[in-house]
Amino acid sequence: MRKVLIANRGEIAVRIIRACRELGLAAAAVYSEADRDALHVRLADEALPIGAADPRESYLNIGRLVDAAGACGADAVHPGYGFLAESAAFATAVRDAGLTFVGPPPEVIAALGDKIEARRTMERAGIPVIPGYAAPDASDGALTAAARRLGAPLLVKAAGGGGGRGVRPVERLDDLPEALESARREAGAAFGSSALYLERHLPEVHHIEIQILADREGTICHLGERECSVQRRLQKLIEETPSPFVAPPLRARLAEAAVAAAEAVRYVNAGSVEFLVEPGGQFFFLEVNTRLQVEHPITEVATGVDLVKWQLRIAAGESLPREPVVPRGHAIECRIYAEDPAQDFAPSPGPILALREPGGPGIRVDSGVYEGWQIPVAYDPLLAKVVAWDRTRPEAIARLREALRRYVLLGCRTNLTFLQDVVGHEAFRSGHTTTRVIEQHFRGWRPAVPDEIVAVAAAVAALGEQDPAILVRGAGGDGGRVPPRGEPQAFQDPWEGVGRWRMGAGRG
Amino acid sequence: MGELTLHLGDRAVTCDVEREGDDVVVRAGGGTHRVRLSPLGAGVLRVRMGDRSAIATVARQGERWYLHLEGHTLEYRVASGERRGAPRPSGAGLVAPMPGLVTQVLAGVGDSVTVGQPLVIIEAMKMEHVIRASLGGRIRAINVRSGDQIEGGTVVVEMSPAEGAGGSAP
Repeated sequence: MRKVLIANRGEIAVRIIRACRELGLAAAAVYSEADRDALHVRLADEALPIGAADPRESYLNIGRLVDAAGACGADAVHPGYGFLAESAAFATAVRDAGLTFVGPPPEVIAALGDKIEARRTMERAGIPVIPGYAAPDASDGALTAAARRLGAPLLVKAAGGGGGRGVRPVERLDDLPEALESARREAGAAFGSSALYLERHLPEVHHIEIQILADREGTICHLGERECSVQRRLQKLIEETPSPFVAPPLRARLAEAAVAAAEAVRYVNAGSVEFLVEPGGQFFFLEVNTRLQVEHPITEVATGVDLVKWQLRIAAGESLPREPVVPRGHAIECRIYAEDPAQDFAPSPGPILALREPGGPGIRVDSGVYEGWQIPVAYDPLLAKVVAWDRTRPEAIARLREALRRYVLLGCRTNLTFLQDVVGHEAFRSGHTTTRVIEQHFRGWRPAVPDEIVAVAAAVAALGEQDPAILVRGAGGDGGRVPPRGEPQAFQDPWEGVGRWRMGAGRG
Repeated sequence: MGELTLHLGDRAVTCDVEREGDDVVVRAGGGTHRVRLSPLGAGVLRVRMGDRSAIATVARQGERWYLHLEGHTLEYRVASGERRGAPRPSGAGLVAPMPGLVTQVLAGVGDSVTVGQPLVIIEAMKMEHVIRASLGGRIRAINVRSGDQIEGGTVVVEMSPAEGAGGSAP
């Protein structure tokens, strides 16, 4: 393996580029018209255009991606997460082109990617599944009849979905027709299959997943759990390891079930087995993600195992070491989204006018953006992930809060303030986080804006109107001129030259 | 010396801003804040208030101002004088919360609709957003068509409240 084509974008493409570099592999990026100036394009060894902004014309277009891999002489393809990462057709096309797919074999992806089939496989392997109704090609009529038997609340799920996509909650059976219709529409557009199934919506559960690595010789190792209960719109927001909820006996049972699930499908490469766990410790298989997870960094910082490098090594035929992985300390990740938590988390694309990402001991930021870039409308609003590691959970929380406080991103709305409030909330600090924590404690959330911050905003506006240079990057008080190296920078009194200024027009 | 109004989302704050020596004195809502700003270049300012000192990052694009200070991020518009030039959509106008693609229009002009009824579906960043009737009433205008690419803040549907709903309409 010499050159890897990364069939993805954003922060995960950047993450994979780094792993390739560290292994001495060349990294080739692909980009759509909307991503011409994206960070992954700038950081890769080379970058190939693959089509229009619409993902179907670019990041979801198997033919163009395989052609790009051929054109640049790549011998392997890493799919990242999302897009085609769990597409058996893509893995097959890559293999048929004589290239190595960095992930499980297509047959395994297909068996687990069809969530209806996966449920049935796990049931046969003796792993508990969520009560529900999953039949191939179920009609609206069959689903409605099953919904009456199961009772509300339910989740309508797309067989081709996963990761919170293509899911519609149904609180009352009256809402079922609209949920079925909108789920079918979204699933048809997003996954190319509109097959649906039903699962009981378990009210207060923990969302816990076990990271596994499996090599081609059948060695399977597990790398501990990730607690992913803090979610909004059924999508993860904050993840941590170890889970404050999981005691050692439960951890052992979950790990055992995860390894059994992997064995049941002869799994190869990195994957995550997701479970829903009830407060009493009863757990149910949810799905296997046959790819790298967004939240993989917390496992990496807690175990010291570089999952992306191991994905590449396993794909190249290397075997896993025999010694068990011993995690240490506590790691928490927050996902930074371009969205407005005060408006039902509506996506908020826009320009990035100023960006200062936090750093320092125990802080890792996986970012796909840079200052001056315009966040495209066409894709997922995930901008970056902040990971804090420390010896204990309270210390990790303190580190994370401070990192979020220092994180500056101006130009679009983000969830940075919201995350500070969540991480600082007693419900999170106590560790009793279930999948309902956001709706229970943060419904109708608005950012608290202290009066003194508003006062500073007014003062900044007054000063900025007089001297716009203070707002411009690289243009301090010197009218935009950057002093040559070595030339002393004279102190400029901001009020000098402003004189007696006044706000507003025609008033005094 | 000057009065200006800050529009922070749906909140408007009118301040009196005055310079006193090196300080800016901001009076708003009965409170007085003495602020000293020292530009450090590159959109960064040192902010001193009483015995507190912090670093602020500021940016501006067109009418929009941005401020980051002590973990708070503010996006605001500024109007000089009193509440003037505040383009607020009327209460019966339904606004797209985000830019995106209109994928479906589910109602027509003149239709009677009930609270919560889905009217327009917008897609952006892989999310579907349903714009629903905020009140029971009649659709006065629909300003978008399926396939339109729209800006955030666009008034997509205008409504008249149902008769008898009197007084409840904002």
